Amino acid sequence: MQRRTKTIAGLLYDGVLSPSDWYSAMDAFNRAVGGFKFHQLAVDHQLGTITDSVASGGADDAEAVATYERHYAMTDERLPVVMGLRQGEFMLDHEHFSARDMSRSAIYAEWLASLGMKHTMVLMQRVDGPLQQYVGFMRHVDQRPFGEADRRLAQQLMPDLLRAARLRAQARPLARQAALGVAALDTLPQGVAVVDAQGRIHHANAAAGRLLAQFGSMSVRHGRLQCRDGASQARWQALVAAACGGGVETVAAAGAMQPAGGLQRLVVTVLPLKAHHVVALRQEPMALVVLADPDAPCGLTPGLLADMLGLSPTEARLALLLTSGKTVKDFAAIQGCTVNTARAHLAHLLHKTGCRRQVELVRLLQSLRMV
Amino acid sequence: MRPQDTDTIASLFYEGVLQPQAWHAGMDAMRVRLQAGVFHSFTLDTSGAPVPESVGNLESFGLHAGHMVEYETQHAGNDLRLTATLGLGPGGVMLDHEHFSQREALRNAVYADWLIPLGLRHTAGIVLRQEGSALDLISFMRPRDARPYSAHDKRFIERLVPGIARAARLRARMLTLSRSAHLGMAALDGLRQGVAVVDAQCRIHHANAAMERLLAVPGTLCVLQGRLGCTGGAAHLQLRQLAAAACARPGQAGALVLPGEGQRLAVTVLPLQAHHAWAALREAPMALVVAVVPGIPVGLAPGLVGEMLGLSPAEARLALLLAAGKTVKDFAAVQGCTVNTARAHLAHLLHKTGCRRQVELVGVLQALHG
Repeated sequence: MQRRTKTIAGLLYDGVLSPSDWYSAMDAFNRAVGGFKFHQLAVDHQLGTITDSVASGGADDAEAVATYERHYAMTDERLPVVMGLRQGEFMLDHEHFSARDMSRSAIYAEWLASLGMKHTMVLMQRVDGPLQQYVGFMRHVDQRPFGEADRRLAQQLMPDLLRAARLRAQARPLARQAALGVAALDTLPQGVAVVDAQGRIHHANAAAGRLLAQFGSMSVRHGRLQCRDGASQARWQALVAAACGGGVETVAAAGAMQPAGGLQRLVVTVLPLKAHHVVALRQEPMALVVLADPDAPCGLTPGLLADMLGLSPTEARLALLLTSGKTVKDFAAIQGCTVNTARAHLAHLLHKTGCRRQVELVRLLQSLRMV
Repeated sequence: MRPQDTDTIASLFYEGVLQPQAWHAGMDAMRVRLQAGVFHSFTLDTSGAPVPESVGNLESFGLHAGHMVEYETQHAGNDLRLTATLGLGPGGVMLDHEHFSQREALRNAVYADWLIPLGLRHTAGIVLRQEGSALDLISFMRPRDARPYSAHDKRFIERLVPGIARAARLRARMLTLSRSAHLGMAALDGLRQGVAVVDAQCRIHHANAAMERLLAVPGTLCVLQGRLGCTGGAAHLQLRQLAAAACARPGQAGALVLPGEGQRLAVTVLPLQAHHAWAALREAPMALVVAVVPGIPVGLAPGLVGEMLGLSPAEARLALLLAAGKTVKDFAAVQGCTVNTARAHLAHLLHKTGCRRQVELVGVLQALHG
């Protein structure tokens, strides 16, 4: 008994950050009380939404859970009892409903019976304002009601269940924020890195890795971002020091550079990282490094560009050529038309995009180059 | 000692996952039970990665920062106790008298010159966690005149170690998670582009500082009931379609240009690169909306451009004028110089920025700040 509760408690704590362990904990708890299936729900009563749902079984069960949530939850007579539970309390259904009640209830007679389930035990894991999180263990239809041994086990595990549920609730927004932030950064086309005053990389997105490998003017050694070229390295160090606040006297400042010695040009901007975030990072000043390729090909296809700006295919091709540094004459040669025709295309192109000059058009297209 | 008492202490460590004071309370409860004077919970990490704050009652026993510096500079490298603890590996309970004799201890500088003069002696040490280059350790030091720890004390520690070790792992992972979340958000907030994460219905799950600024002013983009939208009807529909396409599997990228008063907004919608480390969040596919005002970064002053790219003030002004679509002749007129002088500035400017053409220069200026 003692060993079994220790194992379940351990799984609960491991489950704070690991959904598979949390599932295992619920599963082990369910088996320990002789349950057939379990379902853990977090409900926000104010918004009327289910914020978390973990249920035993595979796809069939998931479908059953969805059906329950849609059609049966509102008529479920167990729920008023559950909603009245305080954090740490639990209910055994036979103490609330007689055999007769159950035989007349749609939930018991139709829904649970159709799934081969009957007796239910529900533990209230967490109550936080309008938010309730509880777990239900359901026994097989021909099993006896939950009894004293199950009650004791639930009582024994309750402190760990409550604490782990609270830690898990605190970790979830953090995990979500981290996942969203990392995913957003990894989706951006420009390289983004966070470094400390010594140039040590604390975070780098996917594009940063690509750009560094491709351009060759900067590299990572011993976890530090650095320039290959000596003079560039000195400037880089000065920029990072300045963005991290340099000394006590100086104010953090932004700067940019183009490190020498690479295969392609790379524009590196170094900015101070916002202070309100730094507080959470224990006051260590850090710098935001943005790596951008000034010659990045648009990556826009003429078709996509035509759709976006309402251009003809020819105008879209012209726009892309101009953005890559070619001239109207180049376009005429490639297209096999006269320069005058090409100029006419340009005039239409500028008119449709609302640009007055070629350089304005280039600017517009360059800001779309992230596709 | 009854099992409930160790459970109570273990629960303090679990509370300590997010609360250093609870971790402190757990250590102190162990100290009392072990009749120790000083406790210390700390992390060694050679990689320079952030570590949980160390927790101890060194001050309350009269140990000051100076003593700790003395320890770190003179004794840490030659500490018999540390070597013995590390030798046992994670979870092993090191009681000093089981590893070296009284004579050995008294000849060791840590005991002779540091612990004993400070009024301490017998030490118990445990490695709680070893992950990568990080080691979490806890230690308890008894007053100088107290007896060595007993077998009974050892059993007490051993009963607690699995729970505390689990709490230590959880604490370290929470710290990593918290840092990752804060760094990611800070990096996004530092960007010039407006960035938002939306789902297939355009519901905003996150917006960075630049996006919040764009949404705060009435303009082309807006929020309606938590959903990102456009003020123009056709554009609104197009944005919704782009978000749905980016959230489809496989996701498709797209862009649109929103006409605005005075300035246009280039909006790109990309499928969000799902990050698998926390895939268990069971998130539906999402899209990244990037909104940027075409052209050079707003508020880029000539002085800043000059400083950023190492240009003279005149060259920086020329660069900004060219990027804004003006010509070298315009510059000569504004500057009050001859066209030839302006051309010479242009030659220097292109040389310094490594550009061959005016178009490339626009690229460089635009790339400033991403």
